[in-house]
Order: sequence, then structure tokens, then C-alpha cells
Amino acid sequence: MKVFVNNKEYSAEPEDTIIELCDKIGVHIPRFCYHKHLSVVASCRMCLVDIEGVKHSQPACSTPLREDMRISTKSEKTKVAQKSSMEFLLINHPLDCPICDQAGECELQDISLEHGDDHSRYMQFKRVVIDKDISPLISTDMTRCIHCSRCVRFGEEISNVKELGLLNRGEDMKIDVFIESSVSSELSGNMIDLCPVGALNNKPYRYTARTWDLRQICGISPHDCIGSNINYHTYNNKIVRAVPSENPDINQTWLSDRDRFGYEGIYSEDRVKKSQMRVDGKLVELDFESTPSEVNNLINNNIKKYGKEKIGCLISGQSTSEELFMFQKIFKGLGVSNIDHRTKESNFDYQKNYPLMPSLGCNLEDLDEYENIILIGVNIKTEYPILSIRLNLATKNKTRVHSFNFNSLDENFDLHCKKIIDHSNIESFLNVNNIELDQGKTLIIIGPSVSRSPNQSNILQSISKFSSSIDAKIGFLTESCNSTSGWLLGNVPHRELGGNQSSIIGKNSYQMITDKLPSYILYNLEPEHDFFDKSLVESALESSECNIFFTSYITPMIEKYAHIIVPITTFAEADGSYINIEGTYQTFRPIVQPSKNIYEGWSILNKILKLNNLGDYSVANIRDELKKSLEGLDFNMSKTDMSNTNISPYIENKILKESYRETNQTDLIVRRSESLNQATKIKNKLNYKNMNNEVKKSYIDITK
Amino acid sequence: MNPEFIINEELGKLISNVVKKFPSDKKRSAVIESLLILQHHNNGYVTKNIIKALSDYLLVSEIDIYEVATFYTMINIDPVGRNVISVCNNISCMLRGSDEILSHIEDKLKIKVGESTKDNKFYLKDEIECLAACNGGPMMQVNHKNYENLTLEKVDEILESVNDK
Ligand code: SF4
Ligand code: FES
Ligand code: FES
Repeated sequence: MKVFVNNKEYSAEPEDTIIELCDKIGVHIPRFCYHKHLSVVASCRMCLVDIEGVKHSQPACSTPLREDMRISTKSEKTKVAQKSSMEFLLINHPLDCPICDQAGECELQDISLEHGDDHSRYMQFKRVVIDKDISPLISTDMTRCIHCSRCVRFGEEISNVKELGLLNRGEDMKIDVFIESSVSSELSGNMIDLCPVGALNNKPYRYTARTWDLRQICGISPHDCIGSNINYHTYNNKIVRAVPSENPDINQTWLSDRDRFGYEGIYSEDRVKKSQMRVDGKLVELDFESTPSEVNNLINNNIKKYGKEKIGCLISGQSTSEELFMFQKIFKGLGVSNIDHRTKESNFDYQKNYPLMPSLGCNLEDLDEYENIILIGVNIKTEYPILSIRLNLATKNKTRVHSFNFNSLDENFDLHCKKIIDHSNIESFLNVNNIELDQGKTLIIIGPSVSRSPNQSNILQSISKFSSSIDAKIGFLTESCNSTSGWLLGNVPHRELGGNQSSIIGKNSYQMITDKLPSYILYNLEPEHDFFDKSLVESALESSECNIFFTSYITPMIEKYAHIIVPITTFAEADGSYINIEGTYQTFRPIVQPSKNIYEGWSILNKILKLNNLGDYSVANIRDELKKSLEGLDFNMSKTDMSNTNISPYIENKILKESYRETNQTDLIVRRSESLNQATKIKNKLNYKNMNNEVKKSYIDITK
Repeated sequence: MNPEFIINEELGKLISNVVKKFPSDKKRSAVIESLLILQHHNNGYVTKNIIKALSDYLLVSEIDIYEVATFYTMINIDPVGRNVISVCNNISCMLRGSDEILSHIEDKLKIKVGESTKDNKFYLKDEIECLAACNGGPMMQVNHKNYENLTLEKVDEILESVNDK
């Protein structure tokens, strides 16, 4: 189809609207209510354009293209229409840019500069809307609101948790929550980005900096295996806020609250600031230069003293691929095969037949091609909030989502069928008679609660059998953001870098802990929360003779049982990379510089490697070697067959300690984010209130 | 569940009759009429708990119902007096002196339009448009009954005759 924009000819898709075409060809049209991922309401009237042969200017966001249409975005008529819209929008706007955080990145500011008038003719009173505390994450200045309803449509269409609404009518119209309610969805922060003015703003960041003083560096989310792209904004070498970085394949323009506010955890009080070593029962500080050799001596002495098979090496799946690479390089190089990253698991018979690495089995944007998605052991809304957006759209398309979880189920998208099943009953439940499948393709997604189950191998086996009986694909969602690398880079006791079988099969994390070894090396792990059972870990650490901790945080258990503590960087202070659940390899640079006595994780590991003459790497070398060892590997998950695993009967009384994963407790960094903890507290209070149904006086709204 | 207000069988029947009028996936359409039913049952206004109960009943989010309840003046979200006075404000009645009638009532009851009397006997409703009795203007409704060709004396008489004790 042929159309003309400003007298230039373009070929266009017939189903596009004017604004969609103009966005593609780079012709700027001002807009407030339009957003490419939201429905069109055409309420702000800022996008009016002049169309030849049409008497009045028409909104570009809602006017479809037609053959030979002649659009003018710069004509006098367009200018007058846009200027008038701008005048209306500014009637009640307080123009308080000097004290507004949005200033500098405000759509209203930009558009009024370009399309508005330079003086106001309005002499009457302006309206005032009183602000309310709606969330610990979002600050409100409702007088600034221009009623574009983007925030309302976000709740209705994207997160499917409608919390904000447009109340009242005419001049009294305002955005608000339901009586005595608050905004508490796991995706609420996106409304901050969507709001074109300063009405909804980032509360923790409030009044910290001016936007034009910030530096922007792109990072990758360390909080879940989806790998959302995040732009971190820093001021004086400190992260002050995070916003989404658009990636159409992964997080689109969205970000979960956990990804947005999780970074606060790196500024927690309990960061380790200096290396420490236990001398005569007391921890004393160690100087920066001698730390690598002290650690190395300790490791080598332990190996000599207790034997290779008596050393337990555990690393978190949240570590970067570089760290995971170096970690196994050192310990496998020294002949230690007790190495594992699966610290939340307790049953490992499945491991031999496990695929090369866990994977979702399809790309995120292809999820809506499946007629059936069966979720087992996962609550997407709280554990992978960003994924719930895709699943919500998929269910609105044609997908039937079935969900079977072990403890709680609370999804923000429509479930065709849901059931809470005890982990020991899931095997007998998986049966075509129990699951009403639609004709077509099926994907089974296995969540982290399955890996935490004491009968994980049995469950995986029955899922595998079930999937081949219905010809379904299998996908995984993992505990940590980089469990994929954990598997692929050989941080498991039975496989080497690249997934080859090891000649000696070492102890898995459960055996390492229950066998009470004389020496442990824990990398980036918090013994209190990162294991399947806290008390078992405590007794193992207590009975061990030498515990080496590489950690960013000092916890009571670390303080009590460590023989040496090496402070390492978090994701934000070093070069790194993660492989997300689709298999996308994403690298990032340091966002801020670490303070001076903290080691970059990969570099201290490299120093130890060098002391043992096992190699010497730079970040670039590591990445080269990573790529080389991954070349030619077959990641096709459809070949996964875990059905003929030999399974020893699991011990029934090995209780499933912690299968419920609270959104803001999933890793050691988010656990330390003040704002997120605040949000959790408020949400729990709200739930509590609803549970107990305290008699509350009818709410009186002072704004009316 | 919300035990503080329960849609009982009688109300449930009335509301389900409303719901039946719309396609089964368009329950939101039943919100206005359901609110009117519930409001009638609760002395002329709805509360937070009533909205919650309706939200559970229709499976429509609370804020959606609250939006409707705040948009229409015919639905009250604050307690109001027991007897509702609506004085028509539209053009025909205005030309025939409805302003005077309204300010007379305001003076008499010592309230402003939109308010209720202290003893909660009367509620003087705001934003009343044409009530389709233009031939008898100025007119008002008291408890949904029309009174036409009003004079100040007639108004006094009508209001005094209201006895709800
Ligand atoms: S609060 Fe912001 S996003 Fe919501 S309607 Fe107002 S201006 Fe639009
Ligand atoms: S952007 Fe078109 S009317 Fe708002
Ligand atoms: S104008 Fe008053 S009833 Fe029509």
C-alpha cells in the first residue's frame, strides 16, 4: 500500500495506524496515551495530524492507513491542533518541574517545549489532587497526572492485576487505588516508566539526583533465569535506580520490581569490606595482597591433609559464567571432584540423564505458539514475574495453561486448570485422564519446586514418560539466574566443562553436606538461606576443620564458622555474563567500581589458578575459551530422555523444607533490598488484613 | 470470602437476573445495575465491603466496580440521608424557577446540595438532570415520586409530610 507522509512516498502495511508507520519511518509524532504494547484509547489528542481531504485533524494513534493517504505532520493545521491539545493538557498541570524527579526525561516537558506555546492564557484556579501512599516503590504526585490512563491499561492488559483505576468524572477525575488498598503487584514498577509525566515516580530514588547527571550502563538481571536487560543509572559511582533496557526477545520494555529494586542489596550493611582470617579463634583482617596466597595455601594444605575426596566445593548458580568457569578450572585442576552448584536440591539420581543444561525448550516469544502449557512446581507470577506477561498474552491468544504446584498457586493469568498436589503424589497424577489437553503442541515447564523436592528424580522420570506419551516438549525454569552455566561449565560432580562425563564422579551437594567433610569451600553462598536444609549445613560447617568463604556478605554463620573470608564483588562491580534459560549468552561490564579491598570474583580465582600453574586468564580469554568449549554442542532439548533413570528409593522423612519461593527472597542480593522487603511487608499485611477481616470503618477519602 | 457483607439469596437472585441479560463473558456490564440493587438494600449507599462482595460475586476487580461507583452520581459511596430529594436543574425547570426552589430547600434543611441533614432524614441530591416532567416544571422527586408545578409553599408541605420514623 502506498501512502504519503510530508509529501514523501512510503509503502505501508494496510493494518498499521498512522503512528505505527511514522514510528517505523522515523517521523516524530507527539503522544501521551499511545504506547506500542498497550491498547489504543486516543484520549489525550496530542497526536493529531492533518490528513488531506479530511476536515478535522485526526489522531494518528487510532487512524488506520488507507491507500494514497496524504498525511502531513508539519503543516500549519497540525501545528495548531497540537498546540491546542497541549494548552488543554497544561491547564491543570502544576508546572513544578524544578522539584519534579521526572524533569529532564519528562514527555510532557519535551512535547510542550516542541509543540506548546511559550505562555499560558489560563488565569483561573488550577485543581489539586491530594497524594496517597499507594506503594513503597511508587511515589505519587497526582496533581501532575494528565489522565492518559497508561497505568490503568498496564494493569488491565499487561500485568493482569488491575490495581489503579480512573475514579470520578470530569474535573474531579483522578487515578487512585481501591479503598484502603495498595499497589502490590510484582510488576508495579513498570507504571513508573509508563507514566509520561511525574505523577508516578520511583520512590526509593526520589530526590536523589537529577536525570541529566546520571550515567547509564546496561546490565543483566541476576535475579531470575530470564535475563532481563536493565539500564542501571549511577551517580558518583553509586547505582541510584534501574530502568528496563528494551530487548524485544526477552523483557520487551518491561522489568519486574525485583529486577528494578534488587540492586539495593549491594549496598547492604553486611557487605564484607576486607579479607579476614581466623587466628586463635578470632577473625582478624588480612591485607589485600596476601589474600590469594593465604587462600591458596589453605586449599592446598587441606588437600594434602585430608585428601582430594574430602574437600567440598560449592558455588552459587547466581555467580557469573566467568566465575563458574574459573571455579571448576581450579578445583577440577587440583583433582577435586566434589563440586556442585545445586545447593537447594537433595535428590540427584536424575543427574546422569539430565540434558546438557536446563532450557525453556523454546524461545520466550514462541510461548504463545503452544496450545497447551503445563506448569509443574512453579508459580510464575511470584517467581518469574516477567514471564507472566508472556503467559498472560499467550492465554489471551489460544494457549491453555495448566498448573500443578506443591504449595501455593496464585497466577495473574487465566489458568485452564490448576491444582495443588503434594510432591509425592504428582507422579501418579500425571496422566492424560487428569489433564484436559487441547489439540496441538504441548510444552511442559518444570519449575524450581520440582528440583527442591526430595523425590525430584522420580518426578522428572514420570514427567519424561508422560511427555513422550503425549508427544510434548520439556522445558525448565531454574532456581538461579545462571544455573545454565553451572551445568554447562562443569560445576556438577559428574560432568566436565562442556558436559562430558567425568571419569570420577564426585559427591553432590547433598552428600557433601551430610557426609560432614573436613573442609568446605563456599562461593557466593549464604549458608542460612541457600541450602535445602539450614540445620544440616550448620552442623556440617561446625564439624568441619576449615571453611573457606568467598562471599560478598558476612552472615552470622559465616562469622561463626569461617576460617578465611574473601570479599568478592557482586554482579554490579565486575565484568560478567549469564546464559539465560533460552540459551542466550549475555555479557555485561562493571556498573560501579568495587571498593578497594574487594576482589573481582573471577580475578581472585584467576590468581589462585595462576599460583597453581593451572593457567592465566583475562575476561576476554575466559570468554574465548567458553565459546570454544561450547561450539558444536547440541542443545536440542527434544532429545531429553530422563525416563530410564535408575532411582534408589528416596528417604520419605527427608522433609521438603522450603519449596515456597517468596518473590523477594530468591537470592542473597534481593533478600537485602530495603525497598523490596518493605513491599513484601505491606503485601503481607494486606493479605493478613483480608484474612482476618477486621472491621474497618468505611474509608473516607479526603481528596473529595 | 468477605464475611462482612454477604450477598444473600434474595440479593443473589436479583443480581443473577441482571447478569443473565449480558453475554456470559461480559459480567462487567452488570456492575451498574447490581450496584443500584445493593445500594437500595443498604440505605442508599454502597461501602467498601459491598464492593468487595460484588467483586467476588461477579469476578470483576474491585477497582473496576469502584470506578463505576465513583463515576455515576446515582451511586453513593458515602452514607446519605434516608429520604432522597432530587430537584431538577435542567433547562425547562430552570426557566420556571428551579434555582429558587433549590436554594429554598437548602435554607430550610440547612444543608448544601449534595449533603444530608444532620439527623440523616434528608439527602439533597446533586447533579440532577431532566427527569422527564418538563411540562410540570419546576419539579422535584422525593423518594422517587414526582411533584410538579412547585411553589415554595408546596415544597414546605411536601417535605413536612415526609415521615419516616
Ligand atoms: S498517573 Fe501517569 S500514567 Fe497514570 S494516567 Fe496519570 S499521567 Fe497517565
Ligand atoms: S496518542 Fe493519540 S490521542 Fe493520545
Ligand atoms: S427539565 Fe426538569 S424535568 Fe425536564
